[in-house]
Amino acid sequence: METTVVDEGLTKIDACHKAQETTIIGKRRPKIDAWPKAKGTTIYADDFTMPGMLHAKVLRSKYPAAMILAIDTGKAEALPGVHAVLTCKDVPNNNLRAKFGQSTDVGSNFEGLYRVLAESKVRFMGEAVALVAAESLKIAEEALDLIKVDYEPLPGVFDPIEALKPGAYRVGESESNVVSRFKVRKGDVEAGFAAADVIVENTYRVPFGDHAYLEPESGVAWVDEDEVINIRVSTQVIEHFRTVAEVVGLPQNRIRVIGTWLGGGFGGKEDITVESFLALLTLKTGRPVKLTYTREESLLAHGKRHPYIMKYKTGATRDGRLVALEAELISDAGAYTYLTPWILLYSTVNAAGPYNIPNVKVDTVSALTNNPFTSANRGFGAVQPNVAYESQIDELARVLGMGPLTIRQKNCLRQGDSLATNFKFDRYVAVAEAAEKAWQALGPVPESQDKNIRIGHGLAVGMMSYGRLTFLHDSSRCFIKLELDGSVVVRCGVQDLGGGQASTLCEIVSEELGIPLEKIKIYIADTALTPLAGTTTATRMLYMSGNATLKTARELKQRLLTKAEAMLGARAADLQIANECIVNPVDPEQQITLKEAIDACATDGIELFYEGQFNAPFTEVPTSEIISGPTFADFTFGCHAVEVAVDVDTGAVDVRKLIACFDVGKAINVLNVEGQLEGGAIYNMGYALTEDLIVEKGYLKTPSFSEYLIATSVDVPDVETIMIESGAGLGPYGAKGVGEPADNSIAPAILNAICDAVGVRITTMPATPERVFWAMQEQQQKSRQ
Amino acid sequence: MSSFAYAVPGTKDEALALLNELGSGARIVAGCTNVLPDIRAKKIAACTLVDISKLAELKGIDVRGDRVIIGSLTTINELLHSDLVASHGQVLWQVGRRFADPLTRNRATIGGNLANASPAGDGVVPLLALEAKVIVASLAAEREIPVAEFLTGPGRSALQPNELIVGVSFTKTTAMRSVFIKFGMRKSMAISLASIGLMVGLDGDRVEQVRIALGALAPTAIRARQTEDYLTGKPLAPEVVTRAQEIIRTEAKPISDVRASREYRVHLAGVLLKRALEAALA
Ligand SMILES: Cc1cc2nc3c(=O)[nH]c(=O)nc-3n(C[C@H](O)[C@H](O)[C@H](O)COP(=O)(O)OP(=O)(O)OC[C@H]3O[C@@H](n4cnc5c(N)ncnc54)[C@H](O)[C@@H]3O)c2cc1C
Repeated sequence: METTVVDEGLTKIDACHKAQETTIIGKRRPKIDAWPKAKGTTIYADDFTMPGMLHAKVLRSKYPAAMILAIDTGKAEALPGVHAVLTCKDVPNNNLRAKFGQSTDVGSNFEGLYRVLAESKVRFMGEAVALVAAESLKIAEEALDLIKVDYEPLPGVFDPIEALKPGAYRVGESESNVVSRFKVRKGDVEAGFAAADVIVENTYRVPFGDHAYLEPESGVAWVDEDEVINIRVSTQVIEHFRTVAEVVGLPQNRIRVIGTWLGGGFGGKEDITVESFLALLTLKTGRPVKLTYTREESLLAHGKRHPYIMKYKTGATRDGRLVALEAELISDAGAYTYLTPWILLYSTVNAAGPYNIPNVKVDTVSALTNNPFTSANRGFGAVQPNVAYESQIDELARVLGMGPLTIRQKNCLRQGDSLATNFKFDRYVAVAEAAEKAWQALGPVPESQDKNIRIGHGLAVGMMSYGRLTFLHDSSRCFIKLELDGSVVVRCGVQDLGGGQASTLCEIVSEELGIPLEKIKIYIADTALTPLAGTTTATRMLYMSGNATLKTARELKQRLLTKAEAMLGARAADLQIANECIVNPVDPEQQITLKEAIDACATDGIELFYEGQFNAPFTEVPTSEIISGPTFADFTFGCHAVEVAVDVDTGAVDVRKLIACFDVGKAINVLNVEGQLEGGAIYNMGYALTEDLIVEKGYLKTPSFSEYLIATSVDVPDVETIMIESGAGLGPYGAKGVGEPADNSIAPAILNAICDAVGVRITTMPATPERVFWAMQEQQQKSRQ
Repeated sequence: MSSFAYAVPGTKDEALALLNELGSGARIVAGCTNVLPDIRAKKIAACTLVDISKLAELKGIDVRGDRVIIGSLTTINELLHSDLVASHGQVLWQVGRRFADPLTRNRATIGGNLANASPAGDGVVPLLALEAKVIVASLAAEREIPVAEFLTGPGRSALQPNELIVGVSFTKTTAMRSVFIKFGMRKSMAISLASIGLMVGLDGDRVEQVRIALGALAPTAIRARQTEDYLTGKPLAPEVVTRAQEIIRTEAKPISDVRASREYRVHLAGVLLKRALEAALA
């Protein structure tokens, strides 16, 4: 596979930029959307209403596996106030080979069935069976009760290992239960283990995870005066408009998706949620329609983080050198494919971690089951193997009597090293530096003040790509226009999840054009009006749209400087643009206002707008199960170090100190990056300790937030963030992506700290008090024998 | 969502008349922190919601003679800020900070906690330890029911459809030390996996009298009578505490559910007892 290097120009400009002082970039400032959110004036998807708007509800399957024998909608349709009741037969294209928001053709291995409404065979509890639109929510809910569905329950299969066995229940109609398989092969593991002095073997189990965003799925759709279907929706991917067009059988230019400011996404709004339902209902009724999921519905109906079963065998020599790693990962894809193949590929590439290991054998497989479908969740397949490989290396350190920092420093990747997939890092690799800084910041283990409490320290490092898989041929666009009064309009199809996606672009424009943030107006997330910028997923927005924005701003800057050159009789290269002026710093006499330059450009017919595109490096679509060569553009490296207090009588774990250290490349906005690092750590602290979406035989046993437990403010310690700014990133100004990597490595750091405190290795997450307690009991029994 | 009628009686008698008329077609609503989630979860079907939250007669905390009387509409937050409760019903007062979160504490009432009769209800456990009586009124009469008799099963109580909880009362208890401990899956907003309300009168380290109430460890909140009997008259020596833990573990009859197993809850009963006794001694 060949990698093409793109935008040499950008790197060159970067080099000269480094010499200059920045005015906006690298500072601490509130995001442009911070005040409206603090004041409560931000309008979210569910806040919109329209005249004549109907309310929609979704009828969902009561069974995880069943045949639908008949659906009788007669009574529901007859209910006064009901305007539409739709089932699969009302959907023009109910079954799509979906590329899940991807515009390039990546072949059948990375596609899957997207089914709008259940058809003959129900695959999971909560699957959408019918849609209702009515005058009020209450009527819509009543109508749901009046729809009669005859089910014939089927046995189903609920365990991916069972699902992979020959003769297992088939989740789908014809396709096999195997979604994908990948492999990594490096060296000879047999020989590697033969040369090992110690070998650690464990099987790890990680649970389903919900995103638990504040804002559930929501949208309003209407048909406008030009017969375009407009869908205003909380989404990470406005480009699902293409899928919606296919579903309703209209040309793509007749569907307009307008993204709202999100109340959180975390990957849960990467797949289509309410869009197709809304389009079908507004087309059918001719009325605006709103659909907002309840919390319970959200827990039931959107994709979850994949549970994995991970068998790991890791060998090292007496002096702590890793010599072999063998891993078998099985992921539960749930009832439909969605992003499973991509996520499994991430896991495959990440399976051995950021370590130099001469012999590696990784086999991964994902299977369909009649469980809730699983898809993107912050960390996207990097997080699960991280739990395993960071637990393994800690166990090795324990057996070898070595410190957790030492063993990592001994084995971790450095610049010039390669992954087991043969991807070479020619840029700075911060694993060792991050681990050292975080571990030092944690300090010595304090003496416990309570006889029931044992204190422990834990360390875990991690790596995760930013930017999408390179074979997806990713690109992003941004349009900037200078107004005659010196203000700026930015248009970029970025979806803002609350991670500062829009704000960061404004900060880049402000920096480059010397125009204050107050004079910059950004329009985002509108498929009809903003240049498409791709998905806000894969930790790609700053990298991709940041670069597109930087490129665009610099083109306009060049035009202004060229004009100023003529006006001032100075060389453009000597001029600087700052504080709405163009000035020669050596000769401040040579100065004009930005407005004067803009006026002059306007007079001379020089275009004061530009739309730039940034392309990520492109590689070929993998055709073999064996993954080799570059699959990502670059990685972000980081580390978590934690102090826990474990109650020896109850097994309760309290995280008392939490340090997050990441190489962020360059912090565009320091406050915002700190926010991401803090949020990421807390996000998966819950994954480690309390969040467990329990599904028994396909039935959800944690249907609300009183069973699915996310941390409250009093459960959360202060997060100390340490930033390394290596400038080694591929993003603007050398930035790397941090959104997703930030939640990696916290879970194993906590597990390792528990082990340090009470000597038990928790291999099944979450580490609930009960699990920790029984593990301690078992340990005591063993040591008595 | 089912259809609900809504009635707001202006006086206690009006409320009782309504309950009398509607029978099981009525549903009393106080702070609504149980009722609303139950409606959402379709556990409560069409009925008339009788909103008693405006009834002044059910509010307030009083002392009459040696008894403390707490109106059923008293919120958890009001309990937490009551000096009377702090000094005469310490064990109940201690629940305040461990109950839900500040927002919910402002709405949740003690009457609602009793009527809800959850085995994990945090309000009922200290009331059991306080040997409180539930004051219940109907159009015809007012009666007092000891909490232990009031709670008849998970979600079930001795309350009749035509009755209203007016309040609870208990005897002032300044002489005994009180401890309430709740163990949940997080530090706030947690449903108790196990809880204990302990009141103990000590002479040095010798137990003169003791009352132990347990939450989430049986179909209702219960008194651990055998453990109490065993402890009475004994010094709180380590071996006594260990034996008491063994006894209380046989008294606990919890269930397994999605939050925790039966065995773990039984274990917790012993841990909470030990910690409560230690705290009382400290
Ligand atoms: C977020 C949240 C957190 C919670 N945390 C806790 C917790 O930590 N500990 C805990 O114990 N509980 C907790 N609960 C449950 C609930 O708050 C308590 O049970 C509360 O005391 C109920 O009081 P209420 O006034 O809101 O009752 P309502 O919801 O108004 O009523 C509850 C029941 O009692 C009946 N009722 C109410 N008042 C009377 C009366 N005067 N006479 C007769 N019947 C009556 C109602 O008909 C209904 O059946 C929590 C609830 C929520 C939503």
